[in-house]
Amino acid sequence: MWEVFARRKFEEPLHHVGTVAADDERLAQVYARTIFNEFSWVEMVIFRRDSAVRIMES
Amino acid sequence: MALEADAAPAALIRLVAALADNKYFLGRRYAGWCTSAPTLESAVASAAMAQDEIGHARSLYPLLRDLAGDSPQTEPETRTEFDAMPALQEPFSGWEDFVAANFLLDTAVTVMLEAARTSSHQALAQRARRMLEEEPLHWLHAEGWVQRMADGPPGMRRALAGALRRATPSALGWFDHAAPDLVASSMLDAGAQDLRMRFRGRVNPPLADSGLEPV
Repeated sequence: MWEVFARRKFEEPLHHVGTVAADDERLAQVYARTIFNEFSWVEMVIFRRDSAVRIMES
Repeated sequence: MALEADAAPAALIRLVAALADNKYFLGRRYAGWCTSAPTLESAVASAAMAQDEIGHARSLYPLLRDLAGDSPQTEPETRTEFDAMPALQEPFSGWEDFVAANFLLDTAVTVMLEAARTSSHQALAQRARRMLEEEPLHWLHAEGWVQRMADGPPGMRRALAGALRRATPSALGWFDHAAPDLVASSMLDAGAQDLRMRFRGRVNPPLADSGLEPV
């Protein structure tokens, strides 16, 4: 699972726009680009969910 | 080399017609999997790629009309004499055919467009450059799925290898549209043999990485 972050303007922070399921980084890129295409993003990045460092949990 | 009168225009008409038809047929075949791809994510990707390809066809048919004149054969809605690759003539029989077409046929058309990027025919060059902006995503999808299926269970790997073998003659034969007249008049920057080499240089490294036969 990959977490997808994007921003519409360079002066805005990246924000979470959703997730995509893929076992391949190339496919994750394609899926993120084609699923979250509602805006003309200036930047989009993806992270593997299991690469997150959890610093707080309830 | 001296060109015979009208030789290049005739070859150019054939090339533009074939580009338009193959984009149209790729779009139609991709669209057939918008609701039946193996995952929801790949269904969305299929729909997006279908939209890209049909959009490319939509920009090429008016160029065909400009070159060949108004007739039922230059309108996509009334055209009957399509020049699509044999592997695109029938609906895909399975997802492996989709992946093989995405990897080999879509890429073969892209290699031809790259050869037209600096074409002496400005209208073709402009369209080629615009269409090529959308193709890197198609390549990523194709490469990703080839690797995924090659790494899958033996049956999946065999199905992919079979689909790649079936699609290969269509991909290699497609480059015959790069007629010598088009190279001589700088409408394309390379002929059929050189384009086949470029194509093999593109597709064979990922096939080798996946332990699949080269084309």
